[in-house]
This record gives sequence, C-alpha cells and structure tokens, in this order.
Amino acid sequence: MLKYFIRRCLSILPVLLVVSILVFLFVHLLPGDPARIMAGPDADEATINRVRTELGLDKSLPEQYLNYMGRLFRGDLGKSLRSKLPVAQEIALRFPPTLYLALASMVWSILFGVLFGAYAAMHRGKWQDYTAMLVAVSGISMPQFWLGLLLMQLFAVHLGWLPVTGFTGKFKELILPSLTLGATVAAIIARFTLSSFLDVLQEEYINTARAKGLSERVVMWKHAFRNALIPVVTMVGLQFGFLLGGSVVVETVFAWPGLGRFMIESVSVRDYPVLQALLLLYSFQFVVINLLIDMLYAVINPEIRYK
Amino acid sequence: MKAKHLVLALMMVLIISAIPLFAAGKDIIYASDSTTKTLDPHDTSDTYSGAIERAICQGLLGFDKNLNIIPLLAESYTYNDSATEFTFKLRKGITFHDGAPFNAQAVKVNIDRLMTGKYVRSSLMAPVKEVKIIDDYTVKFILKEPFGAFLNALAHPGALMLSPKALQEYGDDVSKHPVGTGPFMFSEMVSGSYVLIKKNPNYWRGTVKVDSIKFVPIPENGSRVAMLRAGQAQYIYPMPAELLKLVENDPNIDVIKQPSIIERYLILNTKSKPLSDERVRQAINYALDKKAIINIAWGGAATEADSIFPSALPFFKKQGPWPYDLAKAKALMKEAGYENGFKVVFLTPNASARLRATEMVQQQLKAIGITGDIQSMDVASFYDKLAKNKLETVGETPFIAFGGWSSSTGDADWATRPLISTEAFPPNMSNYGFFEDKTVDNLIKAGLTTADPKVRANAYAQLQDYVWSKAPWGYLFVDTLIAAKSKNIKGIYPMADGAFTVEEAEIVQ
Amino acid sequence: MAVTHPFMHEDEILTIKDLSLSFPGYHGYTQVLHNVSFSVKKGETLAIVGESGSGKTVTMRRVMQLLANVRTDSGRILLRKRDGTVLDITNISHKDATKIRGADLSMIFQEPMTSLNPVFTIGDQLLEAVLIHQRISKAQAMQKVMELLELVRIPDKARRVNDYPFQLSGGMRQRVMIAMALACNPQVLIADEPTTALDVTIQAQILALIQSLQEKLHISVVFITHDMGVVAEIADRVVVMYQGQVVEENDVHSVFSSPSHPYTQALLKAVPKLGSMTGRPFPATLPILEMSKELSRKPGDAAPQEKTIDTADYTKPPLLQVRNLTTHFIADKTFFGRTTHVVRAVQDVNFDLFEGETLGVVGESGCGKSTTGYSILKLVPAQGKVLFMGSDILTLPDSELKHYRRDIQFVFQDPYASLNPRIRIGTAIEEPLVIHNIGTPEERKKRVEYLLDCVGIPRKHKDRYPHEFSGGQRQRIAIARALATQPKIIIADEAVSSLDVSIQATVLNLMLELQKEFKLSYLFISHNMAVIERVSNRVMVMYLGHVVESGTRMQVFENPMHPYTRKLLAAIPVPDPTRRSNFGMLSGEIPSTIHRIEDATPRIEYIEVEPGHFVASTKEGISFGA
Repeated sequence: MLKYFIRRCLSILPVLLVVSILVFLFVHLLPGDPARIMAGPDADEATINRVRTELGLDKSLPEQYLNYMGRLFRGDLGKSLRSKLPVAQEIALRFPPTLYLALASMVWSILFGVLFGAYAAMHRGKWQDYTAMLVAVSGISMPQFWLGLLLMQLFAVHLGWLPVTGFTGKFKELILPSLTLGATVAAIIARFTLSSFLDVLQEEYINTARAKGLSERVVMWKHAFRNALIPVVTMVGLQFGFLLGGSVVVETVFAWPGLGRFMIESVSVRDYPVLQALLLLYSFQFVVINLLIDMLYAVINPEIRYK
Repeated sequence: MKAKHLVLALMMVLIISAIPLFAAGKDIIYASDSTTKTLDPHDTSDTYSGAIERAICQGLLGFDKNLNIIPLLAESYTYNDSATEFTFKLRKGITFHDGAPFNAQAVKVNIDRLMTGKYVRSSLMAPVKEVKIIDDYTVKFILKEPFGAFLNALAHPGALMLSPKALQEYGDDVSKHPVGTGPFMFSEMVSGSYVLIKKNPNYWRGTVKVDSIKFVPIPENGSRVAMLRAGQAQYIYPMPAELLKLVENDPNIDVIKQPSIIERYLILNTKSKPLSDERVRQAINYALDKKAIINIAWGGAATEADSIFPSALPFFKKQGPWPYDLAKAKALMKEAGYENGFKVVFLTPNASARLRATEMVQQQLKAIGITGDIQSMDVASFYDKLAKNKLETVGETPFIAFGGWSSSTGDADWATRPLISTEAFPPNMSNYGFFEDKTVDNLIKAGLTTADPKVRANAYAQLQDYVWSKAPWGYLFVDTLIAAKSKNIKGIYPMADGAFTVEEAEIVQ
Repeated sequence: MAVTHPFMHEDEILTIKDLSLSFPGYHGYTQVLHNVSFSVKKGETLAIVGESGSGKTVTMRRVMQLLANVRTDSGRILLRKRDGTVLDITNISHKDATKIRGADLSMIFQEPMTSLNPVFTIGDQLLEAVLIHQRISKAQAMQKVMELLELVRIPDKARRVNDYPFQLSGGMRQRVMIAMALACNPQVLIADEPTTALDVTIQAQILALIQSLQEKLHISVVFITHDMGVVAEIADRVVVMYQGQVVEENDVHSVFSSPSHPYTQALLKAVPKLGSMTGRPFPATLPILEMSKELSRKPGDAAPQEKTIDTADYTKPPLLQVRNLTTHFIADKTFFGRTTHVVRAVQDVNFDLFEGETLGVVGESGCGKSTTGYSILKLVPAQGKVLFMGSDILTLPDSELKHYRRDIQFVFQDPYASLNPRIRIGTAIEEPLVIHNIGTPEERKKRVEYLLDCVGIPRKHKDRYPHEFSGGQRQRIAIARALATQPKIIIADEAVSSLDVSIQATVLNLMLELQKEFKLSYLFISHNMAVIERVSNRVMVMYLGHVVESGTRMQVFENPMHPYTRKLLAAIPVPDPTRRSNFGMLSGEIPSTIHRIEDATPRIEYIEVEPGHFVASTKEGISFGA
C-alpha cells in the first residue's frame, strides 16, 4: 500500500517531464506571434523585432526549450510576457479564487448530486425519480452562462441580496458563482450516483441485508450507499480536477479573477511562459488528484487498502 | 426528506447573507470589458491601460474630449517650418505625487528612457535625434528628419511623464508603481482583479471631486450591465448595443454615445487577380449594404464610413458614404470582364460580431458573383496570418479580410501611412492588402514634412479625395462608442479612440 | 401451543398455497409460477429441486419478500410463529416483513463472492444481524458473534472477525453467511444453491455443516438446488419443480426409487452417477433424449439406449505429446519491478493424447486444468514441449501457429460469452473457415449447413443471432464452430458445466456421437468427477498445478491411489439416498499456488502402480495434497 503510493508519487516526475515537452511544443506551435501582440496592433516591424529579442523569442526553438527547462529546474517559471510579472506570482494571485470557487462548487454539487441521485434510485420509477432526474438533466443542459446571468438578475439586481460580481474574499461573493458552476457538476454527479446506486441495488448483498431483517433505511443508507459511492468518488475527483483548472464561462460572467480567465487572456496574447506554467500546473493537479482519489478509494474500499 | 431540509438550509444561508450593499459616498466603480495589463505608460500597447495611466500621469501635451491637441505640462510650444525642431516651455510649480519636481530634467529622463528602444512605445520617439535642456523649464526636441505629426506623438499616452524619482527607485517595476502629476494617485493594483486610484489632493489644475475610482474588468456584457443596474458599478464601458433596451427605460441610467476613430473595412488583396482591378474593387464597394451590416452585425452602433479615416480625426474630409448600388456594381464587374464572378477566401477573427459581419459580406458579394468560404480564427492567428504574407507570393490567393484600425496617436498620419503606404507592406506595418500607389505615398509624405496645420490639411484633403475612388478597401463603417452610467455621475467622458477621461468626474446628488 | 388452521397442519411451519406469480416484461406480464403449493415441516430438510427457470428460487424469494415488480396472481403464504399462531405473510408491509426476516425466516444465497457486503468487516455484518432482533448490549452481541463463528467452525475466529469478505475463501464466506442467517435463531433456513459455486470438497464441508446445525438447532432447512446428488445427500423430503409448477412432492427415498412424474424420471436418467461406469472400459452416452421428447414419449415407445464409444486408437503414435508443460504467472513485484512471487499455475505436466481418445482432466479450482488447455495452444506463455504431429507448437512462430490452431479447437464453458452477440450464428460457424482460407463461399455455405445438421440445429436458423437460442443450443453452435475446420483435437474446457442437467446430458451425448463420427480426440477438462467418469478413456487428476494421478478411467476411479483423488471421490454427492456419504471427515481449504520466486519447486516423482497408472509422490515420500 505505502510502497504503491510512493511509486505513484515518484511516477509523477517523468509524466511532468513529458508533459513539459508537449506543452512547450504545443504552445510554441500555436499560430500567432506574441511579439506582434505585445507590441500592439499598430506597431511597426522594428518595434516588433525589438520586443521579440527582448522576450528571447528570436532564438531557435530547441534553444528556447533548454533555457526554459533550465529555469524550470531551478524553480523559475519565468515572467509573463504581458505583465512582466513573475509567472509564479501571477498564478499565486489567481489560484486561490479558483480554488475557493472549485471547493464551494464541489460542496454544493456533492451535496445535491449525491442526494438527488440516491433519492431517485430509492424511488426508481416513481414520480420522485422523474422529478429529481428532470432537475438533474436541466442542470446538465442549462448553459452555465445563462444560469449565471439568471441567478445574477434575481439575487443581485432585483433582490439586491448578493454582489453581482467580484472577488474580495467575502463568502457572499462565492454563492452565485459556485452555485452556477456547481449546477452542472451536481447534475452529472446525480446521474452517476443514480446509475451506480441502481447497480448496487442489484447486488446479492443487498438481498442479504434485507434477509437479515434490516429496515429499508439501513439497507439503503448503510449497505447500498457506501458501495454506490465508490465509483462516484472517481467521477467527483475528475470533476474537481476540471474545476481546479478554472471555469472560463463562470469566471467571465462573474468577473472572477481565477485561472480560467487567466488562461483565456494568456492564450489571446500568446503569453508563452504563462501558458506553459498553467498547462504544467493542470497536469500536476490532475496527477495529484488522481493520487488523492486512489487514497480515498482505499478508505472507502477495504479491498484496495489491504492489497 | 433530507433533500427538503437542505433546500431550507440553503434558503437560510441566502437570507442571512442578504445584508444590503451600499455604494460608498465619493467612490466610483468603473467597469470595463478590458483588463489592465501594465501601468507603465512607455510600455503600454492597449487603449484601456493607457486611459488609466492618463488619470495618473500627464504628458507635455494632451487631447481634449474631441481629440484636439492641447498643452498640458507644457505651457506653450514652437516649432520650425521644416518640422525638425520643437521647443516647449514647461509649466512651473508642478510636483509629482511623490514630491519630485516637474522640470526639464524630468522631461529628459522620460524621453531618454523611451529612446533606449526597450519599450513598446519607443517608436513614438524614433524620429528624435536629441532632447536638449535649454533651461530648467525649457526643452528642445531635435528630430532626425521632418515629422509633422510629432505633436501628436507627444500627446500620446505613450509619452506620459513619470516621476524621475520613481523611475530611479523602481526601475521597470514602475509598471506596478506609476507616479505622475495627474488628478489621481495610484493606490493599488491586483493583477486580473482591479486597479484603484485615489484623489490627488494637491492637483495643480484644481480640486478633484471624487475620492477614488476603482477600475474592474467585467468581461461578460450581461454582467457589466447587471453591475450598473444593481448600483455596484457607476460607469460601464462598453455598453453592449444589444442590451440598450434594458437600460434605456431605467430612470437612474444615462447612455452616452460617441463617434469613435475606429474604422472597419475589408482588406482587399490588391496584388491578386481580379482584386487588383480597380473596377472590381469599386464594384465590391457598390455591392456592400453598409446599413444592413451595421444594424444586424453591429447592433446599430456605427455610422457608414465616409472617408478613408474617421471624421473624429483631424484633417478629415468627407467623401461618402459609398452608395449601395447593385446595378452599378454588376456593370463594373461586366466592364472588368468578371460578369460571372470569381472565388475568394474570406478571413476574419472569430469574435462573434466580426464573424457575423463577414458572413453578411459573403452573402452580399454573392449578388455580384464573388463567392468563397470563410476562414475564421482567433485574433492572434488572424494577424499572424496576414503579417506572414510576402509581396512575392501574396498575389496567388485573392482574399478579403475583415480589418479595423484605430489611430492611437489621434493623427491623420497614423490613420493612413501604416495602412496604405508602400513602406507599410507586411511585415513592416499593416498594409495587409499590399495597396501600392505612388501618388498616395507622396501625399502621405507631404502630410508629414511639416507641422503646419494648414499645409497638412491640404495634403490630407488631397489624399482623401484621391484614394477614396481607388478603393484599396471595401469601406464599411466607423464604430459608435456606447457607455452607460448612473445619472448621478458626471464628468467621465468616453473618447473617440476608445479611451476615457475621468479628470472631471464628480458625484451629484 | 399450536393453533389449528384450515390450510396448515400442526407440524408445518411454512405453507405455500396456490401461489401464482407474474413478472412484467415488454409484452405485458409473464406468468412464472402456476399454483405452487407445498409446506415445510418442523425440523425437516426440504429440498426444492429443478433446473433453471423452474421457479424454485422465485418461490422462496417471494416468501422472503425480496422480489420487486412481481405481481401475485393468487395464493397465500402462511407462517407459524414460535408461539404457534399462524400469520398470513402473503401481503405484509415492508415494516412487518423486516420483523419476520432473520427472526423466523432467513436466507443464504448462491454466490459467496457477492452476497456479503464488501466494505464492512464480517464482524460488523454479523453484529448487525445479531442486534436487529435482540435488545442486548454491544459486548453481549459481540460475544454472540464469536459463538456464531465457533458454531460455523471458522478457524482463528478472533482474527477472522475483523476481516473483510474479500480476505476469506468462498467456503469461509459461505460459513459466515450461514452464521449470519442463524444469528437470530430463525425457524427456517432457506439456502438457495449455497454450494453450487464451491469446489466439491468445500461443498461437502458446507453440506455437513448445514446438516449438523440443523440437528443441533432443530431448525427447518429449505434447500434449493439443481443437483440431484446434493438432494440425495441431505434431503428428508423433495419438491420437484418444472416450468413454474410443482410436479412431484415426496420423501427422498420414494423420489429416487420410484419417481412418479416423467420429468423426475428423465432428470434422474440425465445425471451421470459416479460409479455407474464401474467395470466398463469404454465411455458411453447417457440413455436420454431431449427433455421435450422425454416428456412426450408414450409408455409403449422404446427407451433410448446407451451407446458405447470405442474410437480410441492406441496402435498409432500419440497425436499430441505434452512434456514438462509449465506455466507461471507473476503475482507480485518489488518496487523496482523485480518479480518476487509467482503463481505456479501449471508445473511439469506430461501426457499423451491418442486419436479418438478422450483424456479427462479433473481437479478443483486453481489446480491448473484450464491453464493447461490454454498453454497447449500458446494462449498463455508456457514452457516445455507440446508436440503435435511431430512439431513443437510452443517454439513455432505465430504465422505457423495459425496452421495448427486449425487442427486443435476450443470449446469454452460459457456459450454466452464465446459467441459474439452481433454476429449471426451461420457467420460465426463460417468464420474459422474464412480465417484459415478454406473452400469457396459456396462450399463454406454447404459446410455450415452440414455442421448445423451434425449438432441438431435446424439449417433455417443460421441467420439468427445467439440470443435467440437457449444455453444448450448455443453450446451446440459453439461445438459446430469448433468442428468447422475439421480439427483433430477439441479442448473442451468445462464445456457442459454451466448447463442444466438435462441439457448437459444431451450435449454430452452429442459430443460423444461426434467423436465416433469424426474420430475426434478430446481433452475434456471438468471439475465434475461423474461427467469425467462418463466420457473419458483415460483420466488425469490435477492439484495445485501438478498431475497427482493418471491412468485409465477404470484404474483411477476403481483403484484411486493418491489421497487427493480419494478425497475428491469421497466428496462427491451421489444421487442415491441409500448411499449417503460421511462428509464429516473432510476438512481443510485449497492452498494457494502463489510462491516466492526463490522457493524450490517440489520434485515430484511418479510411481507406476500398475501399467499406465501413475501416482505422484515427492522425494521425501510425502504424498502432498492429502
């Protein structure tokens, strides 16, 4: 078990190395010249060339990669071409908003998703099931952008209860964006929980539990629930990975200064160091989350814990 | 059962957190679609950052609301006939926010910094050979060659004056600590979140009437309007045209419209057959229903183009608009021998309005037999593609690209030379259609060889008359800028170049 | 104090009267039970026997209220409580059902791997069962849990109580299930095929356990099974079900000695009885037709006869010679990827297979019998020599191997899995011919029709899909496909194990008849000793990857020398209630075949006790596996 986790942790390094090469190539092969963008739409060629030299983009690609990797090994992610600030500092600024948003959304979506899914499974084929799943499907199919503006109109503009946009660290500001972001995830989790639950309810040990004389409530919430949760955990982890990347739509609608918008802004100006760092960060996050999922798995599922 | 409890709990949370929000007395929130990239004026390429810098720093010269050049930190100026020497008398008794005095030495430090060539706006001072300190309050610029538009260069936000003390202290990190002489002092910048500026209590032109202005980026149109309606922003720009109906009936909101210096046009590849034929290019202009494109693709927020540059720029001379006349268009096509039309490629950035406009162009040109597919891509790829065309090979593919231009110096020269002169062929500048005409080159040069407004006006009038019918472009329209504000805000004006001025901002009850 | 009831005798605990059930389907309800009536008496073991679809499991699950979406068309279910009162439990509420489950009626299920909740320890699951109906402290309950583990004879119970189900073997899990079912002293224990998924020696232990518990606790046992052998071993009375109806109900001796219903009669004929081949040198078919034909046979018609199969030809050199066949799988690695533990699935196996001969390979799970089959065709990496008509298959490159695979075909256990559900059966049978590029399309079409005739599937069904056929028919189709390339050898890996007894009999007969027709050689792999006895010329008994005994069928079955062979034979339930075995003497689990890589392989030597009869012994003289 421990051996397995150490091996998993070490295996992150080669993965990141490969990712760094791919990321570098990918980013540099994008059409669009950062020097031209930095210099502004009305710059002349002399200015653009000067900027290009300034940014070190006049060197050959392998040379640029070696420089980049050299700095990376020293822990230096470089400076943003756009803001001239260290990339690490820029990311450190945007990561907390995205993290808070992701965490809050996860709380909503797990709460609602798992409850809706379990509730629907327990009332399979009855009106409760159809209602819960109707809500869930609406959640999946409703564009986040539209839901966000809708919630904003209602709670911020008309009722004036909550701030329209912004992030200064207050809990109130977190409510609308996280609900918007969580709605889709909640719906996905609900659907997944439902099918997982239905699978588990087919299992013989559910009959065993019933044959013992346990009440339906105990059968569902003790015997079925924990088993049904096992596959849901993976899904939740993956969703969390996506949320940690930052949601472009929700961050745009709610003017949330997170990683998603940062990514889009950086792509639009081809801010290579930022793009590279962000893509590396995403890969790292996914690897770490996968590791966490595996550990969580072991907690829920003893069969893995004892291997 | 449990789900019900949860819904209740959620409602409770919402109610508890519903403490009313109030707008502070003398603070203004300005919501924009853009993000501040840097606050170093010499290294700024975008209009939005430049406008904020203008609230903090000032230049020797500036623009009024109508883009007329006015003296600012310079009291007066003189120049020689050949536009190679410019002398400025500086205003006395002005200090930077950090207490450093403003004087000829300070001007030299700033101009020398630009002249190192390290900064995005270094190009503004490219014509300068030398800056001479005549005395403490007089400086003289000696140019390498005549440059009639030099005054505009000094009015540009790229030539704003930073405190020499701050430059000394922060170096290039001045981008995070700009110190100027303007009505507002820089207070705080959180990258990606906001920029806060506070009242300068010792402003030399008089009392500043608000305590602070916070610039927040709200990229989503609907959210920006919601901010204004909820009273959480007092001024928003741009006000999306498609949501105008929502705010026009709101008694607390004013809408401000302002013609811009942003002209939109179709770049025609004049080196490729059949677009190299003037008659074909004219036919395209006759075939374009500009009004329809403005109304459908641009939400009505534009006026038809009536010269090669917008009316808000100096030396403008009205030519058009170009009439929409299909019969004439077809006749010209026939005359040119393209009665049955031909194929082109349409290029456009994938921003939705521009794509929509290109689709309409594609539709309209079908009427005269010009057909082709649309290639849409993100802005960076779009300009990259255009900039990579080479004179030798560009003739192989006839393309029509959706272009746009804003003369950031506010001068006629910068609205023409980078776009239609021979020296501006890519990759040098932005003559992406490779339009080549000796007369045009000469007239552009004539406009530059003097700073005398009369001589220049004559040159640009001739240029506009001449080039209009040459149709290097498919002329489309000039954007109308729309902003919206709370009724009680006064003194914030959008400027024709998409910037704004907040110096006179006040809150009235 | 028993209360009299119009439907219920005083000595009856559970009575089912006229029970008819229907399940919903796409075309409305389908009736699955037709007026089923029987009773369970106090202290007896009632066996409900029948094949799949007979309704035996549905009936008892309905009694336990474990069926969702079922419609009860008629009938009543009555339960006599401990105080003697009679309770109608036909339509009791969920809540009332929980009071009866566990306390009066409890149930254990077929699949020990899935019937315990994988995420709770067995202690937790037992504790829960104890606490449901009894108001005692947790400490007292824990005490009771330990007593229960003792009762079902779980060794090392203090440690085992904290184990999760996956840490236990199938047999141990089934013991835990029994303990759980007994936690609240039920009146009736309903055991739904509790030993079907277990190895035969483990089955014997579980059967012995249930019998001893019944005597000790004076409970009634309802034993649902398809295995006539098990019925004969443990039942007092028997209810025979067929297609949702009770066709016969009688005491166990009468059912076996004078079955009254044609179905029961046919069923008994279809079961291969261990020992029925004693003294007969050649394999023989079973004297039975398809069930529908059996049931429609008129009294005057001639009964089918056994046919002797004497195709084995020992005058020619062997078709297949296997020498030192060894297959190891990696079980565990170190941090750096070095193998530390291996599964010795097959170890130094030697045998010959002659033309027209059937070599039976028998053993329990993990003995390596299936891996032996795979190894021969290099479907798993193997070492040693496999000489087929002079060439060593294991050293052949893949391109040439293809050629040999034509001559050696497989028939697998699961006819559901081995036929692609999206391919018409005609195409599936033709496929091997296409792969090996045999014949023109016209010739192939004729061959497919001929093969369908051979296995008794109407030609006109060749454009149907596998799901349109029954399990037995699918296995016939799989056999037809195996025969397509005119192979010399067929490796039949548990080919009849998942089939119902009556179907199994007809498929076995088909295989034997085909052997006679085409001079086929079979490597017949099975866990079922009685089936092996019926079909084999020679037999090889495997244990933990080794061959422990081999010889002619008569030598191995009539004169078993190795202790493991004897144990295996002793554990087999014989479908004859007059010959009940004494399973009490059996104990122990099947050891693991995982070894540290540095462990020495035991050097096994074979003693030829009589000509052709080999018995394994180690150098130290210990005959392992006893």
